[in-house]
Amino acid sequence: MFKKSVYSALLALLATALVLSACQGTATPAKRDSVKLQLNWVYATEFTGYFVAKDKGFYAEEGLDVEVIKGGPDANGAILDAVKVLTDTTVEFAVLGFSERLRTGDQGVTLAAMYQISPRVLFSLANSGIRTPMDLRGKRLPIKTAGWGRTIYGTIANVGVERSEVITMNVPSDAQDMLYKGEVDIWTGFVIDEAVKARLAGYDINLIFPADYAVGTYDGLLTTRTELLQSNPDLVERFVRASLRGWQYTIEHTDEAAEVLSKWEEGHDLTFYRAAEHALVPLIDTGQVPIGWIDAQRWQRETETSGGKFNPAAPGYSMQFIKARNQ
Amino acid sequence: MAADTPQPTPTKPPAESSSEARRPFWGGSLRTQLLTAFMLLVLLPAVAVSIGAGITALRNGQAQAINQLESVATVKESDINTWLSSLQTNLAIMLPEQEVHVLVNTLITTPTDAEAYGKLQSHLTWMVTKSELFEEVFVMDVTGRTLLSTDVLQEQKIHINQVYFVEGLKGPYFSTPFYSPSLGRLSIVAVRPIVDTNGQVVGVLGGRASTKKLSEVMLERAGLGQTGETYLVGPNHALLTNAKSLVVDEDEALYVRTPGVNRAIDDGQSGSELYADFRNVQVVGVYHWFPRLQVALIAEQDQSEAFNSTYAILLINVGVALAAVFIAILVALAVTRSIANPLSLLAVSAAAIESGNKIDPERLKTVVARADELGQFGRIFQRMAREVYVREENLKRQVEELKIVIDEAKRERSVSEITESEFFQDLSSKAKNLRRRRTSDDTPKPEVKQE
Repeated sequence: MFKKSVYSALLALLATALVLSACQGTATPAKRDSVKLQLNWVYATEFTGYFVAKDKGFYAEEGLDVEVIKGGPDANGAILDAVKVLTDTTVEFAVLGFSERLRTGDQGVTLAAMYQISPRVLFSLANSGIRTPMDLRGKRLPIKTAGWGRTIYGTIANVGVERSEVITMNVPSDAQDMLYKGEVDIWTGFVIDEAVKARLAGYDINLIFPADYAVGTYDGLLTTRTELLQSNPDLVERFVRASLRGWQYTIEHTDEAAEVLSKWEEGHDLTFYRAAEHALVPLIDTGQVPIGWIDAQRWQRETETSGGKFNPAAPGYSMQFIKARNQ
Repeated sequence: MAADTPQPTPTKPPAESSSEARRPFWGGSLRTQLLTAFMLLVLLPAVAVSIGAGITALRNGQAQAINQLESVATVKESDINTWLSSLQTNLAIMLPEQEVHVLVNTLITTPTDAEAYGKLQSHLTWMVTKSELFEEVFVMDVTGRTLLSTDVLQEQKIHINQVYFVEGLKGPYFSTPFYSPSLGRLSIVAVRPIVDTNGQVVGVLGGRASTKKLSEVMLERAGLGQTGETYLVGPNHALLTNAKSLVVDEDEALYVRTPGVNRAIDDGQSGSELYADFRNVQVVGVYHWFPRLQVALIAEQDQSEAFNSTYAILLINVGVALAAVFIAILVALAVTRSIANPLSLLAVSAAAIESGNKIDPERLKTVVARADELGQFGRIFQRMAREVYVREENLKRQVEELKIVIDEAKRERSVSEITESEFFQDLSSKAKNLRRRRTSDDTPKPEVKQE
């Protein structure tokens, strides 16, 4: 009788252990929150931190299943409006430029400014002698787009050079050879893209950062909808935390980030991506403020100089997650 | 007699031959017990002393290495403070005279004043050359625009987004060493406000200094031995100055995340620790949070070098301890042998006596010759053995004698039993009669019928 009860107890224990181990083995991972991140341009160096966050599993660790959606021109050449897809609730997050951010109005709230220094540069061949905007008097300046036109005109205006003192030429965006051929005196582009191409093509170049002349703003603004921040701050916090982790990893492991980037962006080799990532670091991490940081005075100033209206009660950005990360 | 004496058998000490004898847990024979006890007596203190000495030596060595690094870090911190103070002092004396002050205010109010610009440019260039501290000195207006710079390529740049400009409007300030993408190098900017005659802030005077000076201070090797090094790490964990084993690449930031750096930067602490450095080499590290520049000052030395003398002391300690243990083992063996062997001999002899064998006095000769207690014990034992032997011999003789007496008594008893039997009496009577008849008659003797 006693033996029988002991055997029964042992069998019950064994069965319980088997059931528990089976449950452990087949346990389904906690359901992840699906979110979409809309980029405001095609997959490129400037978004590397998000690619790294996804590739290294930082989003997954925060319980997020993130879809990174490229922007820029579609097959028909139409430019996707990242502001619209954010505000019409198609996506939860978007990376926007400053003027795009202003268009979201109160519907948008910026969570991090990834570019403390705008990546936009004017560059000339080193032997041209052009080293400052003051040297552009009488020079042939290429205008690729209206936006680049504003950058050039803003820069020369801030150093007292009149438009009439320069020669402007409308050029295709991909006609960088014009600089090498001497058809224009400068070229415009991103220090993490066009300037890298020039250097890898073997040209020694002088860089002029419009940001040094107060042209350009915070850029790469990670933005969400105000409504989402209020209704689901936990989701927003997890996304920001993982994104910043991706950026931190990017600037500390540029070669590895370049390899990740090469899986997303097409058209270049690893040498280019590595050089681009190296050029990216000082724009993101100035060493003077935490990455992603937004200074209140600067934000207000840039809002107002960009034609926006600054509301101190609702400034349109939130540093709560960056502060939490750096505490 | 010989058949009665038992043959000598292999003997064991009585205690061992008894299955009920209790043995100590550490061994069997007395020799083993003594040896074990001696070994423990030697080893335990030796191990305890060695461990104690080792821990003390390691602690002292660590404290010594840390003190050394602390001294180096403190000296370097002082050097950096001196350099920073000289930056501010020199910046302050850039605009001392009333005339210069007027020129600055003129330039700020009328940036196109070529005369004021030219005079001020000459003055500041001369000061920069003379001081040998700055790469560039520049004058900014309240909007952050550079009205004048000793490096003309930097003129017209607008610093309004720079922390040092905003702080410079308030008072003297140093920037954290930072990398400028447009300059392509690391630098540090000292600023101070420019005030007009009414005390109103009308601009900011800035001086950009290279971080090479900081690297020079950090690379001075006094007190760091062969493997020691000191370096600065920025608040973003980026290496700011060259280290012996790591050179700052102006084009590529190097980030350092070691326990020492993390404590200083993330926690704002100063202290010391043992950890793996950025090469993954175990080091003794001293870290100082340097709030004036918002950087971490790190002084490290490889543990292999820092603890070299400690390891030598430990090695000597261990060597001496091992030698002492070896000698102690030899002495213990000898002492054990000198105690256990005689006792063993006595035990064997006692067993022989117990078995009834005669012991050879020669075997105990070495024991009884000793002057100590064992010798005394041996002599007593030998005497007792002899007495036992004599007593035994006497007993044997007495037994023999008793046997003879008993045999005689037995014989007498047997004779008397025979003589006193009826048959013998009858026979005797018949014999008497016969003898009597023979003597009285000449008749032939009658035949005696046997029964």
